[in-house]
Amino acid sequence: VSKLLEIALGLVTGIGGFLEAGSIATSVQAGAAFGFQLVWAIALGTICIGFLVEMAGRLAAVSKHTLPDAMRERFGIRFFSVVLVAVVVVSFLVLASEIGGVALALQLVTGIRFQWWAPAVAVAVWLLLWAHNFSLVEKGASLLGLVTLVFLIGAIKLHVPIHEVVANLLPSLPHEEPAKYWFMAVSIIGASVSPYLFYFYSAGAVEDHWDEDYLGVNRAIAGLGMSFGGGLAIAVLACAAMVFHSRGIEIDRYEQIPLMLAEPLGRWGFILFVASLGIGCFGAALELALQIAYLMAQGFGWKWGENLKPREAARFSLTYTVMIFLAGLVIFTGIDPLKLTVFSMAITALSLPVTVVPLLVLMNDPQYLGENGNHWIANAAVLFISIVACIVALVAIPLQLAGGS
Amino acid sequence: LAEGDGEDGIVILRAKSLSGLVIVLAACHGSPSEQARKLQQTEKSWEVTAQLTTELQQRGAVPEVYARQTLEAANEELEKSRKKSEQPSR
Repeated sequence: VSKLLEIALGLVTGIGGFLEAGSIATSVQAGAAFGFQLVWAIALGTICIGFLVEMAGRLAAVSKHTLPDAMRERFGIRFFSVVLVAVVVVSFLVLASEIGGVALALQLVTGIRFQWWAPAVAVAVWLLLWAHNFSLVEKGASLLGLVTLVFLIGAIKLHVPIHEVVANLLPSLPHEEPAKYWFMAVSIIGASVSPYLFYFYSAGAVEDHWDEDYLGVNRAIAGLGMSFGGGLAIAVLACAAMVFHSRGIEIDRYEQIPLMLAEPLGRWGFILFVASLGIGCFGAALELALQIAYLMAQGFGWKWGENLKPREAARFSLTYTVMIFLAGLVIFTGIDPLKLTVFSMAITALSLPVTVVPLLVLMNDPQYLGENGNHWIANAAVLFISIVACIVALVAIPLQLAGGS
Repeated sequence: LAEGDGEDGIVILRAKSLSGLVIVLAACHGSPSEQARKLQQTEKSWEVTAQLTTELQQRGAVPEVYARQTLEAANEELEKSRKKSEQPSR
């Protein structure tokens, strides 16, 4: 019964915690610009994150190591530093995007510009981590995150043509604007495969003392949770395709996005969109801030733990404090949160080989996994998606920047 | 693979394919006619956004405070786009 409960909780976290600034922004922009054509990118990203989350959980359950801990031990501090810098930079950019997402949700309902909300949002994120039991906050945020199911309701109300969604599960070449198309594709993959998701998951598994008995639970959470989450992201893209693409609206600013749910669902659509954006981004900001602190603490051997009092894990607490306030400062400067979000997702895709390949090496090392090492299909799928996403990002990011987007 | 043998040749071939892809995409991306088409598309997009916002505001589907922000954003973006289209193309 307790394992069923854990699976249920994992599913709630997978569904309620999947949509955040990155997945909403990239799915909406893709749906508005290319209709259903980029459904395949969400599917590919979801497959990749499903495999990665499962691997991170399996590593924790079998070897009792968190990812950073195992990486430092296996590859040495020099190589680990490269991974550390890549993951911290990417996670910091995404953290700033999430704080921007919450600030924008507040702007949409109050009319006060997002940058004025950024310091308050940063303080709220920090206070919750500093003063509360994080397990409660995490589960609360995931439960509230179920509000994002409204995108599914929106898609049903809009009579999304399922056959078009299914037909676009296979990749296709763009009919126009190839640079933008590929940039959007890698941004979507970056949003789905954010390293914080699987780094955070491995830390949670170690803290919850998972062992080999949990391998089935782990598979169920990774497979079902991520699939449902990916399904929600497809619903977002589908709503955007039906409301924006059909009218020739392209998404340049966050202010346009609530229209996609207000159109089919009226005032409740607007309210639930703002709630989804605010709660989804707030939950992700909490996880990102903690994940950066976990990474530093686990990598350098500091004391860490989400439920430790700040004085019991001073360097761990100082790390998330600094990161949260710096990220809040970035948004306070008035940088466009939509552009920052989509750009951060593309950079995430670019960094995938650095963040993913070491995990693959660990997952094939019998010293850590014994007989529970990776199947070749998992290796091939993750390696292929990561390398292709990185190469396409290498080409698409400079072109998109040169085009002024 | 003429430039090198074995792995060197493959690396050169990959680099060439990548730079070829960049050139093809850049050519599609930056031509004046393409830029003019994009500006037109942006203007149309913001005009329809303003129209849809007004329609939803009248239906009571979005609050006043939100509609005002979106209409202001539409005006700003349309202004920007018109200024850009008035600039002589290089």
